Amino acid sequence: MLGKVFKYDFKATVRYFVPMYVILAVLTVFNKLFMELVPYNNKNYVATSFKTAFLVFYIISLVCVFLLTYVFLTIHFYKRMTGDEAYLTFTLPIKITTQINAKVYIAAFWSFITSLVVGISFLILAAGHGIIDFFGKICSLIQSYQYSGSIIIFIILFILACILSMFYSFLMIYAAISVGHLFGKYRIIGAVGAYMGFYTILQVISILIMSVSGFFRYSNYRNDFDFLRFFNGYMFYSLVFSTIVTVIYYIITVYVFGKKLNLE
Amino acid sequence: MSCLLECRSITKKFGTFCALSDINFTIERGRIVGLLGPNGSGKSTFIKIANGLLTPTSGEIIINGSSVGTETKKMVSYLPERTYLNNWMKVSEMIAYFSDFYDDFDKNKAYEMLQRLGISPDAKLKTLSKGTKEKVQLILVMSRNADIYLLDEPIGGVDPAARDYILNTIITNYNENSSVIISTHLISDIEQVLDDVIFIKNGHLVLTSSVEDIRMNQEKSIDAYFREVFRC
Repeated sequence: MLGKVFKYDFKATVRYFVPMYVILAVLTVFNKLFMELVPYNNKNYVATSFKTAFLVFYIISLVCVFLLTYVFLTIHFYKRMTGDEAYLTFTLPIKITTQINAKVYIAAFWSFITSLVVGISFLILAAGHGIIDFFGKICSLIQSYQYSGSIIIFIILFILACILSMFYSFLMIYAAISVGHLFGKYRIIGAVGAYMGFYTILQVISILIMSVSGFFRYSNYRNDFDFLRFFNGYMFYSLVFSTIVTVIYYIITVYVFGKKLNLE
Repeated sequence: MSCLLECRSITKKFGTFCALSDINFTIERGRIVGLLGPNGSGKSTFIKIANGLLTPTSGEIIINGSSVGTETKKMVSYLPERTYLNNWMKVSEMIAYFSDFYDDFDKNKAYEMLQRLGISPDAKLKTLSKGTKEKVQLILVMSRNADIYLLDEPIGGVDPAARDYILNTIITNYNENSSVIISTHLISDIEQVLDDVIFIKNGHLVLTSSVEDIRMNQEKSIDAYFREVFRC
């Protein structure tokens, strides 16, 4: 059943994402053309203006692509779980966990694809401008670093954090929407309030944990102190903390839609 | 006859407003039941609870021996009072959707009914009128071989000609093992097809009776008796 729900969630969302990626691809191609055809010190005012304009469009579109990924997926979840479509969603003979899992996976899927598309777009723009040298320099920098082991751990933790963030950020939105659902007619205001509440509580807890654990006192350490190792430790505990919070968001979402559903 | 649906002391409150108050009744197999009451009497609330769309404040509904949940959703075919179709889909895609999720969905029956009503399977749902969408929704719901059909205002938004077709569809598609509950306030239109009636007023159960008993004992049509009971 999860596969079937995912299939229809994919069909419902793909029509938003493909045009968005096509626009980014077109802007990438135009930028690449202007980068190659109009050099830095070009005196042609019109060509330089176009180049600048397309670069600005490109940067704006990058911000929009990430922002719209959240907007599209939030709207999709909201419509499917609390709008008119919810009347069908919740009368299908499917467990509530399957419905929510599919929504989490579709969000993680599109987050990953968006990151991939943006990454490819960057690579296309950077191709032929010393990109291989750039990566080579980073590699040699890592190798020459006194505590290279810490860098490998940092990279692993960073990848784990990226994967977790795809689930964490969307489950925070889903949990807020589910809490908002408890407010009946005021569910949008309730959802926004719940999101702000979650955010504030997390910030307070994070700052408390950082203060107690001594994170803010790292500058007192000696010069040869392996900051990265210290930072990895912090990152590890943040990952554990974020995982717990993600599970809590998931439980809230499942509980509200499973036990407190009220489609008025 | 075996009991298909049992409503056990259902109460539903929205804040301080009591939409349903201690409702008890049973529905047997092979019956067409009219859930009748004025607007805001609690008919839709009951149907939503039976579908798991509303959580009751207290009490429970038992369908074929199971509390409302994933198992009962396999047995219940629900027509809500609003359009729940995915607007971006074609009619044929919606049929595929139902076919994917409901084991008891009969695709051929759905295409047959579409043809009879002159609705193109290739039509996009967003291009259809409200009435046509309601017909598509009814076709989807009645193309299931479910144990119980819960139809919330199935004839409210369609023209009189389509009403006859809809009622005919309901009668011809249910069998002696299944039951149909039709919620409406347009009683004269559906009176002819009903076996039993349940009257609800302001969230309270007023009456459960067979249509035959009312006609025999009250010597009135259901419509006339309803007007008497719910006189303003």
